[in-house]
Amino acid sequence: MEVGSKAVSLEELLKRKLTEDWGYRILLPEEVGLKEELGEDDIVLKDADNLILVSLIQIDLSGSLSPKVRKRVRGEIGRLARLSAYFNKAYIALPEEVLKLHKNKIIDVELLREAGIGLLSINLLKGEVRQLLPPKPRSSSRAERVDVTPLLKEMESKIRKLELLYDRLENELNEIKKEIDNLKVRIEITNTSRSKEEEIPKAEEESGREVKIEDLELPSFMRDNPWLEVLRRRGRE
Amino acid sequence: MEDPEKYKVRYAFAEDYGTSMYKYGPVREYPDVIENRGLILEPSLIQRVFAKEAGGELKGKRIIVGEEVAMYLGSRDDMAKNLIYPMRDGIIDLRDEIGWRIVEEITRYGLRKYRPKGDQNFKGFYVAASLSATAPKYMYEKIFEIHKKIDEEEGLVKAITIIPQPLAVAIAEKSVTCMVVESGHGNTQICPISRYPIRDAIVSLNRGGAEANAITAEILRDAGYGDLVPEERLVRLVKEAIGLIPLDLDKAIRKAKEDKERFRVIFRVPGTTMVIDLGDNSWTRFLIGEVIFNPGHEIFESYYKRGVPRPRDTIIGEERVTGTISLADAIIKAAEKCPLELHEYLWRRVILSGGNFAWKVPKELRDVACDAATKVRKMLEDKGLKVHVGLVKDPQYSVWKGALTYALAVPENYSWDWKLMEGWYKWR
Ligand SMILES: Nc1ncnc2c1ncn2[C@@H]1O[C@H](COP(=O)(O)OP(=O)(O)O)[C@@H](O)[C@H]1O
Repeated sequence: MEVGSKAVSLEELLKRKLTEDWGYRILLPEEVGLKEELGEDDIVLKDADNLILVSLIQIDLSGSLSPKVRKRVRGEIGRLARLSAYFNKAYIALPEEVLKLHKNKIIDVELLREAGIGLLSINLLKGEVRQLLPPKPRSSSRAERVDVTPLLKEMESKIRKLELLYDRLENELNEIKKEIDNLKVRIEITNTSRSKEEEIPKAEEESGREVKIEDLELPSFMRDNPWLEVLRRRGRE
Repeated sequence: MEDPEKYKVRYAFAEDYGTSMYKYGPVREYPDVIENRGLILEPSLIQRVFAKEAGGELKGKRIIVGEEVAMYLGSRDDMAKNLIYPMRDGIIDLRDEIGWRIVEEITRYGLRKYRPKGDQNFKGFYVAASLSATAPKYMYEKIFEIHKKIDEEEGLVKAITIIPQPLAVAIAEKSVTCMVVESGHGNTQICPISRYPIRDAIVSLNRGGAEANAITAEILRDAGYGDLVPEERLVRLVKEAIGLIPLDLDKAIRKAKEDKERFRVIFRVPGTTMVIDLGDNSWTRFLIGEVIFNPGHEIFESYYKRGVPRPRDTIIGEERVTGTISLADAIIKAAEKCPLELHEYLWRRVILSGGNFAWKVPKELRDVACDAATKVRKMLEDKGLKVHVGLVKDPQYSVWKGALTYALAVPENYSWDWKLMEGWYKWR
């Protein structure tokens, strides 16, 4: 297989192989609810119902193999072992050159086996990805549950927040509508009773204490209400 | 000085003491609403110790009303038992000290909210308070007393009058002769009106929306949602969302059992991811509505046996009215107590009011479900009566609207008359 240009990175090659040749689908860490736990070099994949984690270890070849590097790889295996609870399969991926040079020095194959973690080698020049050690697949029940719960939780809480916001806005809008209605009525009352006071004080006095409330701009349920007449005569009949 | 009549028009204020909601406010299109309830807070141990150290005496229980109640409820579950709805059945016992204190606090809360700010002319409201048609005389006296006290303390009430709830409905509906059926959460009042409420003909029933809540709770239990039942608000929400009034219960049940999917409803509990699905029991939606109109239907017997409270009988004059009487029979009973020549006019206008008649009908179920007015018309027609039944525009607010109109119209210089039970009660 032709490798397009040298610019192709380990990661790009690995991803391409895993998706095109192996048929996996790449997921975002957020999609499995593990955003916090996963790093930049982790690739999360899905194959049918299985969740797969591949951790790419990029090591600068030019440097000699320091204890630091060894420690890092060990740490990485430990991390994968912990995370593997969330996945059906987990792999470590390393450049083939590194493996050839230092395999036994940096990788404890027994440890990998025990942890059920698989090993991939990447050959950038040949454009190849090979499985050197198969991972131990885990039953999916646990993984599946962990798979969606955090995501669901996050969505639930988002929906709940939206619902609350919606309720609040709707309530506020109703309150505002009511308040506008009420203000209209009050303005009318104040205007009308004021203008009555100013304009026809005489007529008022003449007609005794009668206040024609029908003339005021009153709430709708009082307009043209026969009861106004009936009740106004109370105590005088 | 402003003309007193004019002053009254400007500062009229209405209060509706409903069984679950208190509606209040000055002249406007809609009232404010809070729950007619109070939360009793016992002084905590710490408060008691502090009070002693300060050498002071301990002030007794504190009563919280209005929106603030919700804050306390959220924080402690056991608070719920200190939460009291004093007007549950429309009546408060004379010796119910706590009940009356809650009424006082609720009233104060409402009046304070509308005290005009910086208004030199304000000398207190002309308050029209609305009570159940069956409220005894001592309740009138208590309500007067409470308003007087609030006025003495805060100058908020110039005069007060009391109006029976059904009369207020008739006024809001602009109908001088009619049959009013007002159904709230705790009670239902049937009251013929011809310029005055015809007091001897009033039929009052110890039932209302609460009965539909009780059936809803039982249905939820049967469907495996028993853990939701203690949450009264939730049960009420479910009731209002899924309950249906059947035009004819037996037919509706038959149809619902034949075509389960059509009647199936899924209710999402707001603010949670919980979903209530009655599944194959969806036909029970019709029981929730039916119980309002005909709690004597045999289908409810098994529910009463299992502990759903059977509506209590009421005594009217010499007569005992069974709590489960059908609404149509109760309406006919009220009419029969009126002079014969009035019947024709009463049947011309039967007015339904109160939140318990506010049932919605889903469009796609119109062939089997109906609104409250249609149901009552059908029930009365089945008895051979030709009637016109209408539902008020805002079932929950019509009492308040009528009370406000009453305050505006009853002459300011008409003093309270205990014989006629009308006029303005004043003390200053
Ligand atoms: N849309 C609705 N469908 C069915 N019942 C309703 C609806 N709206 C309110 N209710 C019921 O009406 C009752 C409250 O009515 P309301 O007239 O406010 O009572 P009250 O004046 O006695 O407090 C409650 O039982 C409530 O569940």
